[in-house]
Amino acid sequence: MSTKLETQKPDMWTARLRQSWQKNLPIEKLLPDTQPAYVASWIYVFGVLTLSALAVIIASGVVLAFEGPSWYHISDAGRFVNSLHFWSVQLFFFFMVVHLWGKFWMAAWRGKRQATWITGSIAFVVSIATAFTGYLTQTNFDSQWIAFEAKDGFNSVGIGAWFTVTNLGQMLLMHVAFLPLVLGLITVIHVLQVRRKGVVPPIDAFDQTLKGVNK
Amino acid sequence: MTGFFSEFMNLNAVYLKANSWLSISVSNLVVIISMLVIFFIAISIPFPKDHHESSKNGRGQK
Amino acid sequence: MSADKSAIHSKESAPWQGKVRRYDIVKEGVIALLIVSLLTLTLSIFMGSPDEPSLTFKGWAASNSDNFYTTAVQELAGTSESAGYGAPYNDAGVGLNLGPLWLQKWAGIHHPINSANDFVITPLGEQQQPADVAAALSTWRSAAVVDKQRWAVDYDAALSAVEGKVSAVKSGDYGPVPTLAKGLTAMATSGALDGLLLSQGGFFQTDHTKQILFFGDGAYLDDAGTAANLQGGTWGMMNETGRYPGQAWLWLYSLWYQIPPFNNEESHPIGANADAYILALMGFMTLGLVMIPFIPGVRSLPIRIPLHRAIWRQYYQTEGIGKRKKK
Repeated sequence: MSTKLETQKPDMWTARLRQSWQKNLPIEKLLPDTQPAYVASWIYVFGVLTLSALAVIIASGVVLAFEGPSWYHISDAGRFVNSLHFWSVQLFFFFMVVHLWGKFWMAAWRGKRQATWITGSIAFVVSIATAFTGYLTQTNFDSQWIAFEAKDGFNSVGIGAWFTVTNLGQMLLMHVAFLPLVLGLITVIHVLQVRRKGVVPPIDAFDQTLKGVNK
Repeated sequence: MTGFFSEFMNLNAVYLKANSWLSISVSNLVVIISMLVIFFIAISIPFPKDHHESSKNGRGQK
Repeated sequence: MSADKSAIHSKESAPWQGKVRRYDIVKEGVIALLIVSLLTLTLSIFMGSPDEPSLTFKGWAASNSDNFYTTAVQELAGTSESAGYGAPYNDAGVGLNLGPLWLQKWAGIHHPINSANDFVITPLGEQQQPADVAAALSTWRSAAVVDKQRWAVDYDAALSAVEGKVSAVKSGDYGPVPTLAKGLTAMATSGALDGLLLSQGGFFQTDHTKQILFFGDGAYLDDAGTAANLQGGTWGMMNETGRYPGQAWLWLYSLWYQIPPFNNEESHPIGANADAYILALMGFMTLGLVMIPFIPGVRSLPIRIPLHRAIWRQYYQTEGIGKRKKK
């Protein structure tokens, strides 16, 4: 590893990527042991709670995937795993929305953190889509009802011609393969954005005119 | 292993109606109110102070 | 003022240079995972999860055979909802539009369904039938289109006149239609129709569109939806079967269906095309959510309503940062 190559602007793609990575996301930012002193509120735990709920969703989902979509109707263990999946989804949205409220009232997009807000809100929307395909693949009455109703919405704007909510095979693959991949990717980018830019400083933290006044 | 309260949970939901077009199930209302309560508690209750903090500054150095 | 603002902005985007506190990111993650796992386990052990068994054609014919029979006639007459739906199933209807945008029609017929054949004639033909039904099938297949229309439409009208009570219908020239409907009802009652509509003459089949559309044409699915409070016009989109929490996050999407003009199908153009307008509206609002950092007025709301004073209370006190004076 020549220092000459490191300090010059390299023309190798790999070296460029490595340099950019080391500059923007060094290991100290990925695995820090300090954080700004202002990160001192319980509202800050809702991001990691959301991620944890996602982990439980994926774990329980993998078990359901291994056994197939009809298993839980006929197996006690299956019904239990289905419950784990159901409640972790409820907790996921619960924590995510509280996290969203917190980030809004902190105006967390300040300081060039718009990308963090954007990826976060897109993750919210993609989560809703993923949950939707999940509801469609329960293979029970609820799935029948939701498929019948939802088709009208999608058909009305032409999307229904390709996104067929009444096609169990298509919805299952969306739910188990495509959408978790997309959501996973967006989530990773979102979390890395937070690590890279740091937690947003308080509103008015740098406003010198407010120092020592109007307490 | 079905839930201990499964029988109760599978009964018809109770709906609260404010007027002709507002209607919400008790279950959903409990969820939404819980979210609001948890949010306001989270931003209000004190967070443990860090006794290791003081003179350390800057970019995540020990 | 703008010089100050830009100084603040550049400080906000720069790496933090001020006081720090201890932070164990791995420990935080592990504790959070443990807490959520425990919560999930507890909820699952005590509450279980919803699982209303799926409806079947057998169940439909058993609980309301008159309604099944009447629906079968409507499929033959082309008066059922699916028969007149339009794209992506057929060209019998124009579908919904958003002003000059006829997106439903323009998307085309990508999932062709002929209600009479797919729901009645083909299933009947795929199973050995009693002599009278087999004869009726043969008559239907060799009849002219105008005759088929006349028989089925007349019979549908006669059934409507007696509110679907099959035994009370006035006699008339309905050709093979009553026998065909009787034959299909027998197939539904026996459970054969469930299997046949699923496999559709093949083996591997995962597309349930035909079954769902046929179901939706009758009252069985609709009544079950009403009983479970899942109808769109009563916030059903947010609800779950039983007492389980539903999809509270669909509250805004659900809301539009409850209010004028969206909740009135007779109101043109919006009520009659509510599905399309609401989806478009939600699309814009979603874009609005994503773009909040760029929307003046909305992005300054957290500044004007200072909930953040509670969040960062400890820091403001330690650093002596006062509140903004209300202008």
